[in-house]
Amino acid sequence: MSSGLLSVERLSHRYTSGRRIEFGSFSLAAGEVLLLRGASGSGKSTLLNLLAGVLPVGRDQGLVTLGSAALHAMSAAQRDRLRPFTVGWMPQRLCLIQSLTVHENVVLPVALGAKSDALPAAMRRADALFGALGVADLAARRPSDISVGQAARVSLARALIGQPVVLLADEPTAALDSESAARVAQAITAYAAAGGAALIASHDEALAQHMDALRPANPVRQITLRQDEASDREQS
Amino acid sequence: MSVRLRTMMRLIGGFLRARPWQFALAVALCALGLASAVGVLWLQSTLEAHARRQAAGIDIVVGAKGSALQNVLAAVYHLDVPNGNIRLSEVERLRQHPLVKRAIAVGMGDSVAGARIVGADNELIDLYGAVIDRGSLPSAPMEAVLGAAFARRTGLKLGDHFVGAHGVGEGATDHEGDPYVVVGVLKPTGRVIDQTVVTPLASVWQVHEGHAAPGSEHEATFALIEARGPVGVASLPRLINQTTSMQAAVPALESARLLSSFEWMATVVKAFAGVLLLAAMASLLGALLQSLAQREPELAVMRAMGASRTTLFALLFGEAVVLVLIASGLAGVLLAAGAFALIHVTLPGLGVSATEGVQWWFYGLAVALLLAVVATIPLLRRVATLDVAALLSAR
Repeated sequence: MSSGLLSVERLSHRYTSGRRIEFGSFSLAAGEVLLLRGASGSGKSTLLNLLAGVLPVGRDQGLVTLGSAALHAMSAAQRDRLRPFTVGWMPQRLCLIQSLTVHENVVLPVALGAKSDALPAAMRRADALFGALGVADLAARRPSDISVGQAARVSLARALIGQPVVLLADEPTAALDSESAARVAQAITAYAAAGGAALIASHDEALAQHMDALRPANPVRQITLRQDEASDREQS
Repeated sequence: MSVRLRTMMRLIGGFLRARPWQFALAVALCALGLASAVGVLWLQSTLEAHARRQAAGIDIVVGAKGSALQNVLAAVYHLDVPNGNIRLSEVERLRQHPLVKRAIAVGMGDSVAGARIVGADNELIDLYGAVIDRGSLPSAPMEAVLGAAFARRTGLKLGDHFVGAHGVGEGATDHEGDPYVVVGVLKPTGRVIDQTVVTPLASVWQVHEGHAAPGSEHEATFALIEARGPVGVASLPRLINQTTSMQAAVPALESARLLSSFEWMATVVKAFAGVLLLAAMASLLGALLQSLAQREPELAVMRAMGASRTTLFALLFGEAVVLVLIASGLAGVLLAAGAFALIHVTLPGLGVSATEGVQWWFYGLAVALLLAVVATIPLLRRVATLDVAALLSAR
């Protein structure tokens, strides 16, 4: 797994409505977990979309460096090519593909990446992730046959399957019971401990406590986004 | 097979299985449209080819004065009654003309079991490219050789006897005293000779001896002329019409004149086929658009997981192609059933070509694939403008 950094400098975004939101500057080192907080509408999902390269970083709207790639200088096609092996993305809407099994959903990012030699290793990683997330018995099922909590864990496994430089997760524990939330916290912590960097948007107060308890020597950092103005209030 | 391709095929298969009835309906409509369009065009080409095939080798039909078209229909297609008879001596004179390569005197007017009895030299059999399947060619009056379809239909076999009837169709009266004997059966040719009985012209004279005036000259009904080159085809009819008591008609011209009077019908049929194909495409597009609307979030997540726009385009195009291929296969089955019915039940003598049918089906498949491309274009526009961020943000 890469030890690359995520670096964000003076990042802002303008919506089609004309509203502008500023995210300021922050960075994320290998092994770190950064928790993104803020009220609904404060721009948490937008920030994740920008960092995932789904939304473009506009001209004069800041700099984003992901590993060694300057995201702000890349075309949409270049960001598409970069994403599968750099970013692990767990979107707010889980969107498992109904026609595929759970296992096929998890290895889909590798399969779509057209690196056939990477697939056997990805299959083995999927089994390990299923075990870590407590969903090993769901592998052959269809998404319609599993619960929302199980689907969230499967979605996290899908985000981690490509051994990404950075994990971006949008409300990963929303609607999960405490056991499922604990499994998710464990998986994210293990990913970070192995050298990954995670940026998590979450309202869940217990998530940081869970992860801090698992890695007391490397506590979770937090950023809070304000709804009405640029915000970069980092808390230790 | 690459992992990527295998994954794409799994996605396409899953996509089709997830909405079986929706796509079954689209496929059925597409198959019906395709089968109808290909079917009518195939039938039209078969009928035209059939008309051309019947007239092959017959450049000019010479008969009694009257309707030229009627002479052609009676002599070439066996669809009408002759205008009358012509003197054999005039046919003999015609045979000596340097622009005439071959002139076959034909006596018609009698029938058996609804088929014409054609009195002519064995040269007629050669003209139609027929060869003996069983038995031999007739060599004496009242010997007869049967066309393949006629023999199959009536069950007559070598050595059997039958009597002809004066006239064709209802009202024909039997020539009881003059039975024919079957000496041969011809192989199928796909031409009108398959449906007929061929016997020496002398048989026709013998059967009609009582009808002719004593001492009168032998007659024939038609002379089928093969001319020497285009000059003969162009000049002989006028020569015959101006200098003899007979009437010459060119089957190619008369057939073209007849078919041109039905041209409006062919245009309507083609337009109908076009409408059917457009309806099939609209049905396919509707099904794909409806399905796309339902699974935009799935496509968005694939984009988010690293699938390029090209990959999604390929996926949607692949789905359209799979649907079209299934529809084309189904259309092929419908066409084969239609062709079978046409060949064996409705019009057994039409000489429908299965090979030509396959060729028309391939044309249909090519058009259907083109329609799949066209039907995919609106989908591609929607995929190109997919708002991944918005689709994956709301739960």
